[in-house]
Amino acid sequence: MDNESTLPQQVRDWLGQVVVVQSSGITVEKGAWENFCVAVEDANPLYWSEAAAEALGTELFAPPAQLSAWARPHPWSPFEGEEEAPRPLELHHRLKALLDYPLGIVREVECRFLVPLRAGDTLRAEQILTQVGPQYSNRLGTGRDWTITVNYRRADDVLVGQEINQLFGYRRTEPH
Amino acid sequence: MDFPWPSMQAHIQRYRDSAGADGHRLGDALQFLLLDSVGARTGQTRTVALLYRPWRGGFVVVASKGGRPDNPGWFHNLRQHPEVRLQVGAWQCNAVASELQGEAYAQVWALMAAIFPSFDTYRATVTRHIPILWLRPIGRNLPEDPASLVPGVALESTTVILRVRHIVQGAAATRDWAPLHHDSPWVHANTQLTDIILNTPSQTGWIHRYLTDRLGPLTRVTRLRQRMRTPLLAGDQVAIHGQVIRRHEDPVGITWLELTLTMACKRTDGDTIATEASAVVALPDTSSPWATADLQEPAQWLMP
Repeated sequence: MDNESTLPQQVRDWLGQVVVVQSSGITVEKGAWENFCVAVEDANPLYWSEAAAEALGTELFAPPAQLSAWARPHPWSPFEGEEEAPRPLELHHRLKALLDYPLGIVREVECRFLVPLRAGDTLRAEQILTQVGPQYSNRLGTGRDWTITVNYRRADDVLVGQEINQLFGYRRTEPH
Repeated sequence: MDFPWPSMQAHIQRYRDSAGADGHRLGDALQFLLLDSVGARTGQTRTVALLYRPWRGGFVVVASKGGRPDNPGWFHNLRQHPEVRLQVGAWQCNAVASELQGEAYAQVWALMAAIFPSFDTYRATVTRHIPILWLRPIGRNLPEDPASLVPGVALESTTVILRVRHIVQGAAATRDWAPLHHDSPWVHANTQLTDIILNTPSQTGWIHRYLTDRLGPLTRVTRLRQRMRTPLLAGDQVAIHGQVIRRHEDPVGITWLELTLTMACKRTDGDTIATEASAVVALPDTSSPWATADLQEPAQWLMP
């Protein structure tokens, strides 16, 4: 039996498709990116000082490593009441549920930073199921590898970045 | 060429008073900076306004003294005290001066003469060698000289003690509310980990910061791949290392590097590589990697 035929139909339908689109309604802004800079103690003047950015021949922009955050909503809204916090990579959690793997880890992530983000930009994240591997067992348990590609697009549809996530969903193997 | 300021002192005063609005730019091609140096003999701070051009993440200036036979006083000051203070437009920063030689000198002379042809006239009329100085802004540290970054060169490492604050603030700033990144009791009750762990975007942020600290703020990271081998925990002492593995001079005036990186932590059972990474970065040379919004890395470097 080949790998694909062992997958639920729903998962097979998802392969190669944009399954989840997340947008946060959050606008890229300096106060929010300064919090990230403080978290990683990043003193790059291009994130902090308009005068420095201009002197260095560019404009102020958000730290590229914060890319994924701009498409992720707040865990609470004054309009809808308190809700369960949105999950950062929703498609990963949906796959775990469909394949009955309660646990998951990120093995590898590749970020491509294409266009810098400026104050005022808004983003959406398109989560695409790129690949699902066969089931196998390792020291963590029994599960599958899968790849989720996330395309980050500005409101004007420009692709500003990409994230290629290699994940492993699994269930613990019961001890004998 | 006539300048709109009656004297150097007037230029400096108007530049200071207007935060560069009057005095930084003249037309489309000419830009001036203010250089504060420490007098070689007097020890007093001296300020001059100098024509400059951006180059390799810093600024280059020519010690022409308007074609006079002797070198300007500020050049002697910089030889004695290379640490200087700059004002470029509204931005003020500390910088280190170094004199260009050889191929770099020839390249920069041509660039400067292209924006201010009088430099060629000066050179034709004086017998002295006209020095060119490269002024490199200092941030947390002085970035590496891009010319020295060839395959095999290791960047200086950075070490940080990962605090709860770093992890929780990183998670909050990326709106990642998975309990693994902020809820220590949950971690103890539900996992075999000993404390909360750094989330992936924050790891990306630490590596990114390391690269721009070491290579300069204008460094543009276009691709960063991280392979997580073990989580980074609150309390870990994390060392970030980097090494150049490939270099490519782009005809558009930037330099591409590919680097391998590691985030290693000290644990009771010895040093552990927590994350292995590779990065592709663009460095400024005669152009800035930020001059275009969508920068294309060399085709031969793109992964299939």
